[in-house]
Amino acid sequence: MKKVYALIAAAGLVLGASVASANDTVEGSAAGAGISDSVTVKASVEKYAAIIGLIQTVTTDASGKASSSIGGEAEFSVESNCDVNITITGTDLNNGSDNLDTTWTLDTTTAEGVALPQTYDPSGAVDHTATFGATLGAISAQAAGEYSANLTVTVAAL
Amino acid sequence: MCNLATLYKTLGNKFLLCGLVFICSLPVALFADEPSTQDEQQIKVQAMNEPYASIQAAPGTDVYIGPFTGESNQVLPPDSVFPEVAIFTVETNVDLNLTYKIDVLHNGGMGKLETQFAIKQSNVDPSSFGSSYLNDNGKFLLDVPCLFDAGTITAMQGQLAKEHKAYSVYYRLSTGATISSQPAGEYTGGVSLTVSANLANYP
Repeated sequence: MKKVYALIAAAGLVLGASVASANDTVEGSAAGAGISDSVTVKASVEKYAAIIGLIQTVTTDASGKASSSIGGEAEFSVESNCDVNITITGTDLNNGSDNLDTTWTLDTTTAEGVALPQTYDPSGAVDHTATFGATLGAISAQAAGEYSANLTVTVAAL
Repeated sequence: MCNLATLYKTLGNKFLLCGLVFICSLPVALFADEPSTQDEQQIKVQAMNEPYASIQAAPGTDVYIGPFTGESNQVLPPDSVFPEVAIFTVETNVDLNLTYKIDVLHNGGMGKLETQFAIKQSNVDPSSFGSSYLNDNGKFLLDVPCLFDAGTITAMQGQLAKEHKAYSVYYRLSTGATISSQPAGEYTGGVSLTVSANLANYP
């Protein structure tokens, strides 16, 4: 029974302390500099990013000659309020029936599927370039015409 | 026995000295300043009640606004319904100058949130903070033109307060024009109220 009373008393003390601290009172002489009291205000900003202006800018057309190259570039910018990883994934160039094994590279050196870190830059967005390219096979291995591929850019907070 | 003798010697000297002082002062006490007729004397006494004040800030804990999603130009609250951030209840015996200092919320580095505030005075009982004028959501409808940019403003509590006066502070925060204007993370600021006696009407 004594333990129960002790627990109740302890709980009362804790409750009393919390109530006492809920409203802070300052008092004293109002003469001269007076007295002051304050309240601290806090806010938080979640991690956020934007991919801006993803657009294909350059395309190198293949002549149709065997083993010639075809490719191009896509440019975009990433703005964030934190450090992020940027990853690109792309599909092969395809005309609906013929497929060209396509290589994608981010900012010249980072391979498709590999994360490129971008540190927080208070000055704004940072530009990036995704490069794609493929090599034709035999002349008849791929039909003449338009080929297309899809590029996906992923930005994730570190 | 030695101890009794020592005690007698010590106390005996002091009793002798006190007796001499008493006998010498008797004539002075008996004959000095005795009025020959009935007399009346008055004395004016003065006391000073110094300017004094108390401030009770509520809540006593940190106030949290948000979170912001991180988008640019995001305003919290999104409309004109402002959260009541703090209530200062002031009790005093003198006219007061009230100085509010509102800090821009910052992250300790270069990041900051645009901070505006408004102040409303209400006479409420300190035991019922805010309940008399807040809506069901605990928020107060306020006109945007009432807002001030963060900084310091001074007002005056115009008359001797016979009751507690309560001053509510409302905040409006917003992110900057770009995402990167404010890095993700915690931001801290605060509002302080300083009261000092305005002695213009008190000689």
